[in-house]
Amino acid sequence: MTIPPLSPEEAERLISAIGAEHTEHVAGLNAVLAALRSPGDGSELGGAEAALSAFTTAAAPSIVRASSPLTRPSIHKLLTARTLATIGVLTLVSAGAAAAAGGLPMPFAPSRPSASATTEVIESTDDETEATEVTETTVTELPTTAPTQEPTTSVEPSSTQDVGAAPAEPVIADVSVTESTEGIGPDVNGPAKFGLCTAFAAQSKHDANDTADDDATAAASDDAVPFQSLSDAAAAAGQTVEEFCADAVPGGSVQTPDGSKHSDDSEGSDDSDKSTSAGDDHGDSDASDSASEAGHGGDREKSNHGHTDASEKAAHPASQRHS
Amino acid sequence: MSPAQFEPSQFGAVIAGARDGDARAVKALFRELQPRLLRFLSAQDSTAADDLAADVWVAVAAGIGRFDGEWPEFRAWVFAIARNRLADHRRTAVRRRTDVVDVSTFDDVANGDQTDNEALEKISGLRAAALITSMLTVEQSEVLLLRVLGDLDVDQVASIVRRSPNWVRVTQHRAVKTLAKRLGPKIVVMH
Repeated sequence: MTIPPLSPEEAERLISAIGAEHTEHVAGLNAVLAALRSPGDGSELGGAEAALSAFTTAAAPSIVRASSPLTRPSIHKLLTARTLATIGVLTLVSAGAAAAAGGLPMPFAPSRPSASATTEVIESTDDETEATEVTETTVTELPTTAPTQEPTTSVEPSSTQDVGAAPAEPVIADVSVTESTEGIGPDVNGPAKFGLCTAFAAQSKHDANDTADDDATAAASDDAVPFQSLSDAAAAAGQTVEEFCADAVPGGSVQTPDGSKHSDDSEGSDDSDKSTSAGDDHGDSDASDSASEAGHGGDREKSNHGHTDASEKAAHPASQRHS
Repeated sequence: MSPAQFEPSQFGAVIAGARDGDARAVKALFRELQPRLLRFLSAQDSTAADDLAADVWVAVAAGIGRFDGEWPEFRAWVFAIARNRLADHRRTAVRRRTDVVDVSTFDDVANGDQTDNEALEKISGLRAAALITSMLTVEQSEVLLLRVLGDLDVDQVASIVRRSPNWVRVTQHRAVKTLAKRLGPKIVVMH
C-alpha cells in the first residue's frame, strides 16, 4: 500500500492536531501523536510532593527578599533614631551628673568651689601646723577616692542609676575640686620666678614704708604660699631672697649661676594650660612634690604619698601650674 | 493544546501562587507538565528520566521568581531546562563510559517493527514517545517531541535547539513522513 507523500502543511496539521483527524492514510501516525498528548496516568505523576517542597523552599527566601527592601530603610531609620536618642540621653545625663558634681566650666557650673578660696583658708592660718592639719585632712580622703575613682563616692546616686555605668569624668572633676584645696603656689624655679621676686620686692617695700598698717595683713602677706615657697627655695640654695632673685630674668628664662640661660619647656607649659581638671590633679601633685624636692613642705610630701607614681613622673614639675 | 489543570487565562494566578509556594498552584503545573516532561526525557534516556525531571522542577522552582511570560513561554522555558539537563546528563554519562541498567528497563521500550493494531491500542504516552525515538533520528525525534509534547511552535523549538526555524520545519517534515511510512494507515488507537 502506497502512502501519498505528506506536504509540509499536512505535517504541520498532524503535529498541531488541527484538521488531521480525517487523514486516514496517516492514522497510525495520528494515533501515536495522540498518545503523546494524552493526560498522564498515575505512574507519571510521582514526585509531586518533592516538587512542592522545592517550590516551598524556593518561595521562602523570595518572600524575605521581597520584604527586605521595604523593611530595611525603616529599620535603619529606627536604629538611627534610637541611637541618636540614646546618645542624647547619655549626654544629658552625663552633663547633669557633671553639673551636679560641679565639674563643668562656667557658665554650666554655677557654684564651683574655687581653689583660691580654699587656699585663702589655708593661707589665713598663721600656725603652720594647723594648715598642715587641714591639708592632711583633705588628702587623707584622697586614697579612697582618687586611685579607685569610684563614681558612687561623689556622683549623685540617681544619675548613676540612670546611666548604668556612669562615666568617670564627673568623678575626676569632683576629685580635682577636692584636691585643689591644697595651696601650692607657682614654682619658684620656673618662669614665675621673676614675677614672684618682683612681687616679693614690692611687698617688702610696702611693709617697710607702711609699718603702721595692720600687722595681720602684713603677716598674711608674708605667709602667703608663693612667698613661702620663694623664701624656702632661697634658703635651700643657701641664699637670701634678694640673692636668689638676683638672677631672675623676665620672659620665662632663668639665668643660672654660671651665666647660661635655662629655657623653660614651653611644650610642657602648653600642656598644663590645655590640661583638664583631671590633668590639674596631677599638676597639683607634681607641684607639691616639686616643693618637697625643694626642701619645703615636708608635711605635704608626707601627706601626698598616695601619689607616689605622680611624684616619680614629676621630672619637670615647673610646667604644671596651679591656677 | 490547552492546559487541562487550568485555563490559559488562569495562568497568571497559577504562576503567582507557585511563586509563593501555594500547593494547589504547584500541583496544577506539575500535573500538566510532569507527564510530558517524563515522556520527553524517557524517550531519550529512559534510565535517568525521573531524576532529570526532578532536577527540572528544582530548577523551575528556583527560577520561577524571575520568570516573566505566559503559558506558552512557560512551557518553552520548562522544556528548555529539560533539554539542558539532558545534555548535561549525556556529557556526564559519556565521561562515566558505562551505565548500569536493569534488564527490565528494556521491556517497556517499544519495538519499532511492532505496528499492528493490538500493540497500538495499548500504547501509552511513554511508549509512544519511545516508539517515535526508535523510528527517527535523534534530531528528528527531539524536534517532533518538543513540538508535540511541549506544544511549542517552530520558532520556540528553533530557539531551544539553537537552529533556524527553517531547519526545524524541514526536520519535522522528514520526521512525519518517516513515521507515516513506518506506522501505516488505518490504525485506530484506543486509549
